[in-house]
Amino acid sequence: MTAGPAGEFDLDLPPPGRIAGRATGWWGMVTGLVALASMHSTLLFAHVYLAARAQAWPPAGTDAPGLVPASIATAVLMLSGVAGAVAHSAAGTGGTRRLQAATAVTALLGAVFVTLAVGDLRGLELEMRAHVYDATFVVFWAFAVFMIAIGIAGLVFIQFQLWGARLDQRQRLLAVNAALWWYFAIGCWLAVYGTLYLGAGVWR
Amino acid sequence: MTTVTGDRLEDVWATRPGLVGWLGAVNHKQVGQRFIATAFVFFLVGGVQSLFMRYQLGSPESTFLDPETYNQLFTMHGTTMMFLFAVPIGEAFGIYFVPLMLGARDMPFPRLNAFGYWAYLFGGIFLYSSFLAGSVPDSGWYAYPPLSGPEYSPRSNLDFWLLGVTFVEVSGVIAAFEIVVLILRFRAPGMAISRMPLFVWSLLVTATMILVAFPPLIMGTVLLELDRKVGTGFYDPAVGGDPMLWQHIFWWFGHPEVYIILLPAIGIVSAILPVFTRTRIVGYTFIAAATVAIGILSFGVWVHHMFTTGINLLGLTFFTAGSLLITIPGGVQIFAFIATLWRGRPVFKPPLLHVIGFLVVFVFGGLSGVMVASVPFDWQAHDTYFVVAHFHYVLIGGVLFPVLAGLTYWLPKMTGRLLDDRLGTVAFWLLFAGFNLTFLPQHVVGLLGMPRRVYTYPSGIGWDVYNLLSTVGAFVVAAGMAVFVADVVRSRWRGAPAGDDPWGGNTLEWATTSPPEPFNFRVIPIATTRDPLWDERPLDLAGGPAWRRELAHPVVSRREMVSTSVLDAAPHEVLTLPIHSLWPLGLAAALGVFLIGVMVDRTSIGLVGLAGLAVCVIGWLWSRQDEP
Repeated sequence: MTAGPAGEFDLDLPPPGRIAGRATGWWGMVTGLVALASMHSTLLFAHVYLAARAQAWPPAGTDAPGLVPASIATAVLMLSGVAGAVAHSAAGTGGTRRLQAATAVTALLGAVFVTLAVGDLRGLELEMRAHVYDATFVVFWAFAVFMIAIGIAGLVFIQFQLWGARLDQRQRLLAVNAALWWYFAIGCWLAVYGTLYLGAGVWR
Repeated sequence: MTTVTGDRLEDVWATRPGLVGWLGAVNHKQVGQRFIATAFVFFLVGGVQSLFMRYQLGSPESTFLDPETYNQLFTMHGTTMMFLFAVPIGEAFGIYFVPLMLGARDMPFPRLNAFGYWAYLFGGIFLYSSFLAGSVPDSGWYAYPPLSGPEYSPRSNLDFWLLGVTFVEVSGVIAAFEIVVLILRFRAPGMAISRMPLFVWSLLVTATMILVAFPPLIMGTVLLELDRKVGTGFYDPAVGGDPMLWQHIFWWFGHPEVYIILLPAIGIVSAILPVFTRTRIVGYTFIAAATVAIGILSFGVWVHHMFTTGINLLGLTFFTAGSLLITIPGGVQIFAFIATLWRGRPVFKPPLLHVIGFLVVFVFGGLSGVMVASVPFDWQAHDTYFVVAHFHYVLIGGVLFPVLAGLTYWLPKMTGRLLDDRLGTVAFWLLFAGFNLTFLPQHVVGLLGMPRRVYTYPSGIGWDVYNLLSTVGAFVVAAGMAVFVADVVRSRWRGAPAGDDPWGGNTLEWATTSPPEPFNFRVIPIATTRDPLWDERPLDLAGGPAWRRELAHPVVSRREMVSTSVLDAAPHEVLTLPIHSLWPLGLAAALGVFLIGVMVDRTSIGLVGLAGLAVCVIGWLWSRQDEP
């Protein structure tokens, strides 16, 4: 123990596994996600700003996007979030196999989501040069789906790292960070879904 | 070039020999030194551009510069000073000195730190390569559409600006989150958050602001580049877009940026004042709280740059109130500094002279800021030389004087050599006198109606003498900078040895050698007060728990650092850090290739860049690089 003006504090390191706070890498991921969230918020602001100043949004002659395909894709993504939470939990205390299985399911459901979402976007036949509504839709949508695609790549990377290896502290941290990324990517999509699909009629 | 010493700690922290070792260096001091040196080179380049402009405006109807060149010069001057000097220099000081002040050995993610530097360097080179391409940005440092859009800037000049600025912004964001994690997790054991040096407080707030303020500009530039390259119309009313959207996004970044630039400078002043007045800083808690308050309030003032754009009355009222409100925490800081000067016994050496220069000039700029925060006055003064004078008082007063104070204060720590007091004093008075001679008359000529960004003006309308005075002042400033640079160069060879602590400092950086060992501290210091070197000199560097002895005399060849808890800085765990890596350089180069592909509309080059990015990211994540 060392004495200071503010009292005594313990100078010894806590035993491994008994650290009360988050890992350094966790802090790194969270601060990085704050920056990305700020980027995503800019797109949300741009959409709301342009919609609020437009006479009609979507513009006259453009149909609001259909809810059914996007809702199915969103449901799949939410399911992947459950699998991601299982992976998150396995990264903390579970074994290699549970983590491998959970990350594989998460990535698979993520891939299904991307396939559904891309199919839906193609069906909308948006023309980015024709009206800023179309351009805003595509860019806002693309940011969220890109985040999900990076998340899938990260999960696949973890699969490769875990192949025949013992789960060490670094891999656990990597998996925790992948789970944080996944939650963030889902959040991005929910903002897109809420704004572009569910909220499509708000500005009419 | 390093040699094996037999001391494991020294050997593992030494930079690898040769060019590859230099390129792959990741230690915070090397990265910080490179940042500081590069930012200063950009500052000098931006300064030379201003001399060309002042020479042009020194006499009416001058033909020294043509209008196009003048537009390019004021655009690159503003861009250089704001993006390549003012923000990076604050972060550079943070990267070099915050670990030393915290008793840490390095940044938390050294490879990312190195990548930040390479991205900054390549971004700056990318911007300046526009001169070689004969397509220099010319729409001002804020690049308002429609002037910056495809219709009015059809050549590649704005693409250089947009992509180069994005590159540099990425670097700024990376440095920011390094600094946040460093401060939260790597303080010396015992250095509770309430005991952090005020410089560290200012960097923590600055870095947090960068995380929120810079990404929107990155996104805004992406949208503008899409308008230019793809043909979207985010800022084009013809297809439903709105150029005002850019102004909102830009100033959402741009006004916090003023404080992002200012707060590290406030931190430098807070570090220097107690040492050169031989007393503790007055109002530590108030200054720290004011720093946080400025950080928050700075996000509520951006529209005061847009008072003349037809904003409704409620908006004008709100943002006027916000702009006036932020003077309160600013005033708290200034009064605390004056009180410290009042209470102490000032030692008028160059670092303190520059601090006093800051106080005088910055307060003057703050007062004219209160004037332009008032809507009726702003409507009259907007886009005149009054505003040019105001923001130079704020930015040069708020940044340049503190940065020069910081350099004269800390350069002996970095090099082990003292600067010359007489040369430093001469440099200060030349800068101070020259600065006021340059910018004080601009208030008057602005009120007389001279608009910004004009390349010449007719004679006989009352502007001649003020412009001549400004031009003379600018060359006096240049003379002051020349003396300062000469002093720095001279000290490298002929400066007196500084010793570990030439000023009798209060913070931990003065507890290590000058220049610091690569590992900063053999024995990790323990800090139990705000001024550890004043309260506990000599520091207790013996004994302590086992991890402390093991870090001082490691049994394995690894770079090790202790992490601590967020609030009370209790030791958490010993972490290993990367030693050497070329991935950061490769990643920055690949990003550069990708941006060049976008720039020249060559998909193949863009794909090569993307492939390089993928390879570097995978290689980076796969390798630990923490073993020799």
